[in-house]
Amino acid sequence: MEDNPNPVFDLWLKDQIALIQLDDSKFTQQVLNKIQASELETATPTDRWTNGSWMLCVAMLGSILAQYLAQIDTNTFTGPVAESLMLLIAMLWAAWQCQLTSEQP
Amino acid sequence: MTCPPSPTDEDLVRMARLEPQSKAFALLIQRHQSRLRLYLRSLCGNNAFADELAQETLLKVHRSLSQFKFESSYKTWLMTVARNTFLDQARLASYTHNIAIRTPAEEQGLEKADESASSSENMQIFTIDLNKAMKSLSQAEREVIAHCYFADLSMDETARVLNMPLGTVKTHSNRALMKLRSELQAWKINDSH
Repeated sequence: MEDNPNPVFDLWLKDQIALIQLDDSKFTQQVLNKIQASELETATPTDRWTNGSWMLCVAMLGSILAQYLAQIDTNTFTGPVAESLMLLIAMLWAAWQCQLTSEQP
Repeated sequence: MTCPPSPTDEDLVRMARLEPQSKAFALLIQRHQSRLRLYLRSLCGNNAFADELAQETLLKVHRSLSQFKFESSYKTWLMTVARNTFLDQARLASYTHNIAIRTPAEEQGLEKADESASSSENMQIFTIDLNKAMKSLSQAEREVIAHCYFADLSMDETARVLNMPLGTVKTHSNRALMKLRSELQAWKINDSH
């Protein structure tokens, strides 16, 4: 294989091209904005589903909690008190997750 | 006191994978945008179109970061994606090298764009002359020069990206250099003074 017959020109050309600087902070920002926009587009359906699932979870927990609360004797304060408390905490946590999902950019 | 070494491209890819919101990918864009844009400009000969392709390339690269297997350098991978993006668009728009000739208005656009990028008036004129000289090359020669000189890839990397034997790459490169030297003779003479 024939080696480079123009080593001087080869180096000169490489140097000259290296001097052409097209660095532009606007370009970087434009690309980052496009990435963000494209991520929003692709993330929206997933987020909607996640949010819906958490809402369903809150509703289910709320329904079970209502049943447990109905079983508690308010005079003697007996019945599924501990279970109700745990359900209440779980429901609050699910509601918080639901809010987090809806707040995501 | 010694400064910590700057992260390699591959380190930045790993960081961008782990933390997509980090500045790692922005750093990768900053590092390679000049070469990427130069490379695409040399391929398609239209600055605005080349910059659009560069943005699309970087979007594709960002989306497929998880697929990068570290078998080649990040730059080689980036230029491969850029070339495929260019070829896809070229097919779509029946845009070939032969018809990718700037209109006078675009030629002025090139001068304006480069004015902001380079303070040297000589460099602007050189860029225009170089683009004209690139038009004297065949498609294969232009591609080899675009990879080896504009994208700054090695002959081996160019052979891999173009899926060409190394010998063929060297032959195209030598022929292209002869043509470019003849086209840019005035510059070389000025440069030697």
